[in-house]
Amino acid sequence: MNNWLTPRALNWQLAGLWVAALPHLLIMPFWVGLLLLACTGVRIQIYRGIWGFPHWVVKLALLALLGAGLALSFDRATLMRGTLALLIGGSAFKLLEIHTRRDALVLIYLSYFIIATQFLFEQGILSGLYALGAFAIVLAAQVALFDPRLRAPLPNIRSTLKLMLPALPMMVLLFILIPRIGPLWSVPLDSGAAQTGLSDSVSPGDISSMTRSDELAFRAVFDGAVPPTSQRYWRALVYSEFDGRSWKLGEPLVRRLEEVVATSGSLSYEVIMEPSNRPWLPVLDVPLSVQGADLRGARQAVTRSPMDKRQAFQVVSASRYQLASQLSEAAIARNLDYPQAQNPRTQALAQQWWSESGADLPSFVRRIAQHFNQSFVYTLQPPILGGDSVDQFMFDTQRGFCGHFASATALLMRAAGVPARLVGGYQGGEFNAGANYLTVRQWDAHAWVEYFDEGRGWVRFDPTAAVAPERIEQSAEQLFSTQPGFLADRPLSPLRFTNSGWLLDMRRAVDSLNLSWHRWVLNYQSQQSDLLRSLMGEITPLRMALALLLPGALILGFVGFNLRPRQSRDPLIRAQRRFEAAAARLGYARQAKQTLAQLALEVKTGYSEMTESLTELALIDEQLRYAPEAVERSELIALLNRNSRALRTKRPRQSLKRADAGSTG
Amino acid sequence: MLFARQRCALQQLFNQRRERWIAQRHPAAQSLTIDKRRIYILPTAACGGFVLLLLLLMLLAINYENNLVYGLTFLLIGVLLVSMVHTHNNLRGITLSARGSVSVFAGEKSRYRLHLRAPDHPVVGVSMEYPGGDEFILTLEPQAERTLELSAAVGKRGLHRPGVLRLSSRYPMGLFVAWSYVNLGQHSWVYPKPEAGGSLPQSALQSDTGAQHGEGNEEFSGLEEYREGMSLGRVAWATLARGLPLQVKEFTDIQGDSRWLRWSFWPELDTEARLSRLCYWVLKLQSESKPFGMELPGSRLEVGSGRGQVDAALLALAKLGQEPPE
Repeated sequence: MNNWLTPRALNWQLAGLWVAALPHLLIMPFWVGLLLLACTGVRIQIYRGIWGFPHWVVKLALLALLGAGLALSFDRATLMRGTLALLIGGSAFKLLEIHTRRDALVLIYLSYFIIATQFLFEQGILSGLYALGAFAIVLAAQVALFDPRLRAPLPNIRSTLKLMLPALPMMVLLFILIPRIGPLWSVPLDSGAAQTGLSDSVSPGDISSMTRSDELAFRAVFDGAVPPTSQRYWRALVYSEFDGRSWKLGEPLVRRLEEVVATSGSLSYEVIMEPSNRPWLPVLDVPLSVQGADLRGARQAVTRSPMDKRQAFQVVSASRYQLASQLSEAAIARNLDYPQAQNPRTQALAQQWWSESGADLPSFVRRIAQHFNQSFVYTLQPPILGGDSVDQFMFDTQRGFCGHFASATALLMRAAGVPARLVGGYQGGEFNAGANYLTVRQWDAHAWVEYFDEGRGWVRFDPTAAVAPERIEQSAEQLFSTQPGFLADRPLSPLRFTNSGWLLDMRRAVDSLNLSWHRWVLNYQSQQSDLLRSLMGEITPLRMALALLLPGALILGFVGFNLRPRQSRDPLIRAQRRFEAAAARLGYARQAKQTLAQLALEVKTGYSEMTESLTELALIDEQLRYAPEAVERSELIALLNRNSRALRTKRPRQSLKRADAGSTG
Repeated sequence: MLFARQRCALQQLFNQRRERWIAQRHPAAQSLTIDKRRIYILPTAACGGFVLLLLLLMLLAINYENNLVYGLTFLLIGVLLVSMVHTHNNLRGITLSARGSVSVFAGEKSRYRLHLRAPDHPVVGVSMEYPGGDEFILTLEPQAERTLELSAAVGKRGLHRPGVLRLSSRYPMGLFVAWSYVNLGQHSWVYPKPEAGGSLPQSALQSDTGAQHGEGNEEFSGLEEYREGMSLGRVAWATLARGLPLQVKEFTDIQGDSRWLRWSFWPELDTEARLSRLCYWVLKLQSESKPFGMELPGSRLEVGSGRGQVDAALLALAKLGQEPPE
């Protein structure tokens, strides 16, 4: 294998590595970029012949430096980013030891991989387009490696596009058809911003922006029918202690288990929990039994140790139930307690409503729902609340997410003398019809309220349903994709700048584009089986194979067809080529400086029976050259064809005068 | 040690067999165009690395349920397949014709001339190699033509055949190697290796032609290209002034200084050594600008001098006892 490396190829390699690493460099400690810059500089100096390749001691020292930098800049929580920094640093070092084409290929493969890792942090449309451009540049670097020509970058881009454009439909084809499988093992991503999920306290007033993470929380595989979306309340935590601002678990978990009095509609399913590093297991309201975890206190499922790997639990829940028939004095006291000094307006409002509804609990609850429904806005980006956070929310801002509504409702009830508590968990989940399971992601996290009604036990009440019923009826993804918080970790989102006029129209168009991108690209696995079924009916292995192979073969065939050596369209040139081929078969290959007439006369010496027609051919050819007005092109074409046909019937002569022309004396 | 030698011999045997088999499958033709039936293609080691990359990306896509990583992986798969077609097509349509050879002395690499014509698409980085010769990297614009010289294996004195030419290409991505065998039926005559020694016996001076030429000591016989070591006194300054390359005047010393080189001079040497000795004397007489004639079993070269005479003499030495090519 030859191993030439052209300087042009080196330029491409550097460009490829930089475009691949750039999105990472923006979010990484500055020294990673400096390292890459330094290695690039050294590489250029080596190429210009000013410096030599570094000694191994230097490389070892650099490696130690990289190790130290990694240890200082990253910890367990940012393991992912640390790994990527290692990858980029390693690629930078590879720049210092590119001797052969194989070394360059390693660098190029690393660049491809680095481009892919960009998607672990950023999945917007723009990011996808950027990656496509970066991919083209790295591909051009690979092509330049095997192209010995010294060329301007543009022709190289052109030959790269010739490779890449036919690959695009193939990518779409594979994307649509290749079945997706679930993760083989779970891999945690770094969490920089506050993300939705479970925690042991809820203080809605402190959060100004709720980032919706698409991280998988858990899956639930059902034996029978899956409950409707509005019934999918995954209960994980019960908060019963309120300090005026935040809700805490408070109640010791070892307390006596609340009993379930009457049940019907029992559901049996398996919860496959992703590692959360917490002991709380979300189960459908209300769990009857859980294998592998304990039910404690207010029927919260708790594992004995935090879940640091994926685990499965068999659960039986009842969809209709009565939870607890009566409360102990202590329990009542705990669920009525709130700091009297704070949020006075809310307390007053609660007492006013309680008396207006005639101390009737159902109408009191309806009153709360109505109030929220009138003027409140559901948003993922509420304003930060000050001192009396519930008062501010109730009377001033009136904007919030589930935590705000649940917190305010529970306080309203407690102030009216109704025992109430906050419940945290997940609501909804994405149904996968193929395997009859639900996928619940972090963006499905939710909070609601339970109040105690004599005779009915703990009753679930979701105030968010009153202000934003679509949150309960649709999937969280569908709802939030139009919400700013949904894109809060996407800095390039245009949602922040546009609020009126044609900008608004444009924003809406971009919004719907984003939604399609989310549904059809980023979350394609949930659409795949439906789409495939609508495209090709029943999915059988044979149909899948045909759907993959037929268009694939068509694309490759098209590429091959376009690249084939083409015959000239000029009939004279084609006739000439045919004649040359016929003569060459007999050993009279046309020499570089030979005219057609000379060739004809040479063939004549070997095949005297064709003297007449070959002489005529030579004559007409020369006439056409020197006196083109005297003869027609068609005449020469006809002569050429006639002679070619005749020559094709001849056999090569054994002793050829020209066979010896191969050697020079 | 012994084992290594046996293995070496085995490998040589294998290579010979392989070359013969390839030659059988590719009958000679003076000129041919590489078509798709002549092209073989296989993945390279770099393709193995590429597949490893694909597997890693697939793992990344599956574990993070990341559809964009899936997309990038599929794009790479698409590029892999398309590059296979491109690699195959890079060789397709190249037309090669034999264009003679350059004769060399035994122990040097033989050199062969080829004429190439590119098809309608460019030919990029195609490696051309005769067995035992040096690699040549060919790049041609669409429809371009080019004549080039390829070296082949070191030959023994006599007729040399370079074997089957191998063209291979890894362009554009190096993931596949396409190759083709082309047998142009080329051959060349290898001159004996000149070996100094001996001296010309007295009989060399004796002229048996009897062709005594007229008066005058030296006769101008033509111009010859200047080569290093030639006497500056013979440079044809007039032609140089006209802008022609440096040439020297060639004189034929017709009068009495001509020599005869005879096969029978050194009976103590075997055939090849004798040819080498004769070769040395041919070159020596040439460098001394002395006319000579040569007598070999079955052939005779009249007295003459200059480039043409030397070439004829060397060719006669090369051909001695060899079957002419068919």
